[in-house]
Amino acid sequence: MWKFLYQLASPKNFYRFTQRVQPWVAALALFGLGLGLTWGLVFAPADFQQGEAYRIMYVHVPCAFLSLALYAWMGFLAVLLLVWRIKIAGILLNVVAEFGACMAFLALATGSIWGKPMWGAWWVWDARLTSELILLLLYLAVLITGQLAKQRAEGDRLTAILALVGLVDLPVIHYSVYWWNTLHQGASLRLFAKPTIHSSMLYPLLLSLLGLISFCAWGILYKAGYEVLLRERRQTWVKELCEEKPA
Amino acid sequence: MKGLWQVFGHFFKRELLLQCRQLRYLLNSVLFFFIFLSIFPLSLPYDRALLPILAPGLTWVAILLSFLISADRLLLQDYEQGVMEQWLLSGDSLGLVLCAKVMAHWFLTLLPILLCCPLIALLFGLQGREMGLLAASLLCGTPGLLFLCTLAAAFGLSLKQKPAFMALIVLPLTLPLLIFGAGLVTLGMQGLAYTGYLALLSALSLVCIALIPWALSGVIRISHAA
Repeated sequence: MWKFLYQLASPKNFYRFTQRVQPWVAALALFGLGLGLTWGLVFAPADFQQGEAYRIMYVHVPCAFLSLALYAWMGFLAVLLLVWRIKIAGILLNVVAEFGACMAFLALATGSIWGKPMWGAWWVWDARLTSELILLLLYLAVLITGQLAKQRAEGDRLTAILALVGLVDLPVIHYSVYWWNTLHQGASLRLFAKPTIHSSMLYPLLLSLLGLISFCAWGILYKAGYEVLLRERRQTWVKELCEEKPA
Repeated sequence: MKGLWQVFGHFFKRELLLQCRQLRYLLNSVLFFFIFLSIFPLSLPYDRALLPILAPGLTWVAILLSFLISADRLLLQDYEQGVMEQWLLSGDSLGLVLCAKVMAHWFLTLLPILLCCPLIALLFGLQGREMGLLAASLLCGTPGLLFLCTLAAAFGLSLKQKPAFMALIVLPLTLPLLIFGAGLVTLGMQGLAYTGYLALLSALSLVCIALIPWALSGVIRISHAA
């Protein structure tokens, strides 16, 4: 398995990997999102307190989870880039940041839409919402840093350092519901404990989560593949590839 | 090869000397801080109950802006005159050198800021105890703030556009410091326990002092490698 991962560090192998894996991940995304969202939005039982309006949870929770998970992945990629100088990690860093920023924005937007009928406010300055807003601003800072550097390689390393410095926000978001008296509810899904949410709502939630993870994975592979082609455009293998496909 | 404390002491003294010969820049940032703050009591409606409530938040925002504006000059002079290249070549730990530099800046900016606190108390109608809390929050929080603004300036060294971009980088990282710093004084004004926030603020500053120099040295190496 390590050999497989080492091989991925080469741009050519990585490009071939993205092209091979894309259809499968896309199919998984279609299955997960299609089934999970239909089940959750239409067939799952209504909530006792919140009625039908809770159904936005099936969009909000996967988006929020992914905004955190993608930032954690960015931290890992940053370490790969700075310590082992794996250039693919640098390319992936920018692509993951784009998707992460979208997810963070969506989490905040769907959260606001959910909050208006439930809490009576579009926005409250409680710990979790504030720290998620900080995460969105961090994503934007990372994206802008990547754009402004004079050379892409230098930009990648600066982005990596910025991503690492911002990594400290992640535990703050995750534990904010325990550390502070927040309006946002606590965690229903925990890694090592039984979920506190009923199974009829849990399964569509997990399916939607899987679907959105696959969708982001597909999108990231898609964009990263093209970014690799763009950066390596002077290499022979790219030229051969372009000549193979008729324009 | 010099010992670590000797390196730190040498660069600390160098920075103090350099800045003391160019006090006009320091004066600039302190004046900005004070004038920015004094605009608010003038432009906001005169309400004796309102101004003390706003004072902590406004002070912290003023400090952040003042640091942002002056952070550029922390690194720019040494970068442009090639002194930083010599640091990179010298074999001394770049993180340590930068730590000494920023700490020297912090010591120099601390005294004027603390001297401003009575004036701020006068402008905003703060009591003596509240002013003391404000001074304590500034004392414990400004090291972290200065290090983070220096980090933003370091990013700006090698990138094309500086001012607006620096604010975007710095803002998310400094929000915890702002929240705890201003929150500390607000809690004190309401008579609630504030020592927890003070401890957290000091912890954040210490973490910044300890870890940001490494991020700084990484960014500076990258700016020079280009």
